Amino acid sequence: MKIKFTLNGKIVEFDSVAETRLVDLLKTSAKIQSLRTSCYKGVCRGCSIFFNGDLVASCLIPVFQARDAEIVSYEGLSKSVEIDDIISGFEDEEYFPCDFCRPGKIMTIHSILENYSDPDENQIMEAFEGINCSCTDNSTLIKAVKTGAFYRRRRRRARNI
Amino acid sequence: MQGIYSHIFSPSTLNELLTIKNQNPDAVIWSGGTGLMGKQKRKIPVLPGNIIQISKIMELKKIRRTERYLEIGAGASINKILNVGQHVLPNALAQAMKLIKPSTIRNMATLGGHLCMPDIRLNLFSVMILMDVSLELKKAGGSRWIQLNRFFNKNGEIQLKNTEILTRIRIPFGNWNWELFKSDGNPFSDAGHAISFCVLAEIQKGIINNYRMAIGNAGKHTVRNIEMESLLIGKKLPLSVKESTSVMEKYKEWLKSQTMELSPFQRDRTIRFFYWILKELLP
Amino acid sequence: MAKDYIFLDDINTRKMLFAHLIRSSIPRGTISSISIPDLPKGYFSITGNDLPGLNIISVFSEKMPLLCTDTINYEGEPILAICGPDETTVLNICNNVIIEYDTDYSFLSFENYHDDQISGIKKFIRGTVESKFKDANTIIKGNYTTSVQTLPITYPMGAVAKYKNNLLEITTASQWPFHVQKSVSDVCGIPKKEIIVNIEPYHHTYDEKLILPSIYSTLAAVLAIKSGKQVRIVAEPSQILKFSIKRPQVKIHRKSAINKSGKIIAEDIEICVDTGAYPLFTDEILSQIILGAASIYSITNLRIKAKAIRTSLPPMNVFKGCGIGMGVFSAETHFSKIAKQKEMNPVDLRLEYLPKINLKLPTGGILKQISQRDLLIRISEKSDFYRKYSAYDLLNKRQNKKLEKQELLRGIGISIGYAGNGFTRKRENREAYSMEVRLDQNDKLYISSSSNGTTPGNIWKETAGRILGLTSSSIEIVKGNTTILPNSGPSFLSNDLSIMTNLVERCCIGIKKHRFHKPLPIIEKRSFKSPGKDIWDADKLKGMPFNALSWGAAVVEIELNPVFLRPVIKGIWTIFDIGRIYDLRAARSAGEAEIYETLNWAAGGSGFLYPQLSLDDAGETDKINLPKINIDFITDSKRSSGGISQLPDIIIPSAFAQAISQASGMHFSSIPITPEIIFKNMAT
Repeated sequence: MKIKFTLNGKIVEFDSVAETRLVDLLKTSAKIQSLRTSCYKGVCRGCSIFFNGDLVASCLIPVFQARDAEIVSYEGLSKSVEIDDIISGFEDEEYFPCDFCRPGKIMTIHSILENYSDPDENQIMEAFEGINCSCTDNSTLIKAVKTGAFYRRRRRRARNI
Repeated sequence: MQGIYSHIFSPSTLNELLTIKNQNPDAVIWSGGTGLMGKQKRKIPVLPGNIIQISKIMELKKIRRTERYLEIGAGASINKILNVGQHVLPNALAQAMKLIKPSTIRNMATLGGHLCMPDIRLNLFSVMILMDVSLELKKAGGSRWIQLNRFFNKNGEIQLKNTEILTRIRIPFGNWNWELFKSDGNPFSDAGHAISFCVLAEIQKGIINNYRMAIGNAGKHTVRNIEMESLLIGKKLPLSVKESTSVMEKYKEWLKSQTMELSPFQRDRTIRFFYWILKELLP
Repeated sequence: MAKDYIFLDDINTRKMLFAHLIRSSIPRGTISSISIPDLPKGYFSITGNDLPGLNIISVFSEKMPLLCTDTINYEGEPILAICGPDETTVLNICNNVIIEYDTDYSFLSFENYHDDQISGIKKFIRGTVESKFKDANTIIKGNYTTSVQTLPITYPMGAVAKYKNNLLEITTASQWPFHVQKSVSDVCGIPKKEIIVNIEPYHHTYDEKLILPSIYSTLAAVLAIKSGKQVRIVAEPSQILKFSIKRPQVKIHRKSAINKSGKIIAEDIEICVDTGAYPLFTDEILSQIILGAASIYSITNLRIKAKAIRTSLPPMNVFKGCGIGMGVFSAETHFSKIAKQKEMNPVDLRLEYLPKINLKLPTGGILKQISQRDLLIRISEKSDFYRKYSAYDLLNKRQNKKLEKQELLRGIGISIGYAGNGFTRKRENREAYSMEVRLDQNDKLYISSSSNGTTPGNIWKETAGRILGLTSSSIEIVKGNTTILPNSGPSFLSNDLSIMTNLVERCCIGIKKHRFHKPLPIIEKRSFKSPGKDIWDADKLKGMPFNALSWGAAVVEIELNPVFLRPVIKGIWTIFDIGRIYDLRAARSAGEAEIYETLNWAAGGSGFLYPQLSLDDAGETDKINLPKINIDFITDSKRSSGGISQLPDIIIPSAFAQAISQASGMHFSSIPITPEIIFKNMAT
């Protein structure tokens, strides 16, 4: 089965069986290395992608559902200016997630910042529930997200002036 | 589209969908797919033989509001409903929706898919059953509306004909001024322990004009007893200790009989929750 | 050559083959037939009968089969592997393989075990116990259980193997790369010098990377040799969760003899550990649980018997250490139980049995530089333990705990314990842990070790930089393989921190001495050999068992929600003495992360991070209250570093259980504690 969709701004087409999980297609055929398959239940956030603008778990999407969709992975997000806010937040607060969970966490943070311009602790922890990698602590995470939110607000205000 | 196990149909309009369903009555409707995929443990999931994917049908994602009700397309995602309907969505329903976690699941899961899960009534069901929600069921050449409480028979089986599709969910606006939803445990992974409670009350000038309560037990039915609810209707607040004790005793007695529906642990939780409700209504 | 992948499951080269394991679906029985569908060209299978060498994975003197050929001993036991060029096709073939079994439906259980299930016994005796129990005025008993714990997250697990020009190249993320090499050599019948193991970095481990990579590497190696192609085998997450390593269930029965004047004069302890179908690391596990159960309190007469029980569950052995925490859980919870019966404050009772100076470990090793009394006093002051404990006791006695009252129930618990780092059990052939450091002509420093955890690497860089005055950018941790890197033993029990950091230091001091006197490059090698029996006798459990110790004390305060019976953590106070701290920020972050993880497990996996179901938030359902965690460190210690990652797991569970016990008025002696367990206790 041929399946066509937009991936990180480019139209791509792959040959796959309809039931293949989108995460597996993206990893093997599209070589998207930021994706992790840790739970296959949509909870761990390792396979997070933006699917038609919404953050979703690509392990729960069979490829037949992805036809004509617009997909952005961490690789796509990392080319945008949006990620700079998040990385600045990480650097300022010395928040260093490991290579395993870093892409998923950055995607989740981007999603938080798109929904809340000044997220509180509750909104941050609710978004991170289910991410079980204990490479870093929650206090630093919250600070890093809040600092990232500050940079994003500042950048957007400057853009609007 | 052909898979290893499945044949996939992808209609783009509602009429197309109804035609395909008419021709393939055994085909499974695929909305967000979170329920069906969430159960799959293997790398290559084993999916139903015929699947009709409805995510491209815009008519099924519409959310509409009138003075009397809110109407939600069966294909609207939970997060979309929360975002678009944030000012009009009944409080208890919004609370229950926010408890579907994580947010990535809410971005994909749909209200229609949630209600049509076979063998398990998920949390929103216990809220919506109290709200006299009605459902539009369409098939090629006709449609009908039914009350949510008639959507399942006494064995918990969905009363949807093979050629029918759930298209719209209508939520009437009630006069509830006390809405509460609490839950504990994940109904998917924790059946037998997971429990949810929904309470709706209309209290005017210190009198309980209307009171409804449902218990979701991640089973085939939502547990509700109209007779028990009527014990509180018409009561003046605050309740006296005697009234409260009498209601509690009757409730406990009724709960003892719910051995099929509720495990001992769930019954204990229900009693504790109801004590709390009564305590809230005490001076 | 730069890597073009991050993790193993990213490796996907042209002509690579993919393999998947098929596991048994019954716990006990024998294989009567295996039906494999007709395989397309390029696809093949292997069973235990196809292995060129031995069909075993061995750890010290214990072993288990790689692929089961006949008798099934646990559900999930690997039976065969299917290999081929397309992964989807391989998975489909796996789904269509039919294995028939003869089963007698027997199951070796832990609850009612037979003597022939006992795979190991270890004893520890000090003083005379029998006579003291005869003289006892009171005997206080308790049964303590820590349940099975599964991995909370699955990291990629597997291996890639390539066999070309008589050289077998394995790529895997392993805590023990030289064990991978040995296992592959045993199973493939190839000399070790023809096997190169590329050492992949890993970030976090629950010790599942000690043995599992050897299993997958060996399978990949056999398939690579058979096919002549590169083979990748990566486990599915569901398989890792179900059949990977777990924390074993441990039951500890304790009896304490108390004389007329209220002094604890003897303890008799029986320990049972469920090791699953194939016991591994049995001696280490039994030794460490005994150490934990023996406690640090001065009780002169002590008798401990620990048994390893073989059952029909998947193998369970090391999981975040060797189990000292399970012993500490029983000791600390029991001690508080005794305090309650004697109507004493738990801190006072502990202080009574802790020496003022030079605490001795139960095995005889003397600790001079740590004051456990100090840790306890500090933590109890910081948390206001005395006042809260008495207040909650009084409050809970006065409150009528009837359901209708619905008052919030409060409790507080305290615990102290230690983690042993760098277990000094003699390694096979007295192999040393080795480290090599090289300073080259460009003033660039290279640190070579087969240990590959990321956190220790940062600490080694900081250590080397400090000694030689170099910046982090001019220090490199050499990535490599078993050919060029020295054997640094298993990365386990914080060896990397306690032993290997010390070796880095010694190497750098050696380089510093010769720098500017000798021509570059300067290469220094140091190694550490397990001490002799005069330091630690592993058979008699005598002496100092660890290279370094980390100490911690914790107080946990909870409020028990009477509607959903969920504990709301009001506060956690911890104090750690982990020896020298190289990076305080990293230590604090690691400590906090481990505390959250431990609490989540102790509360049944869906504890405090879920919405708080307090009685006051009728409108807000999704309010999450993160508990405030207070972490203090003893920062002026000059002892060698012991690491923090095991400590929360050792000290938090007992403090948590004690807090719930006080709040509910019942005695909880098992962990985790879920609302259902609280309900069942209340019902009885």
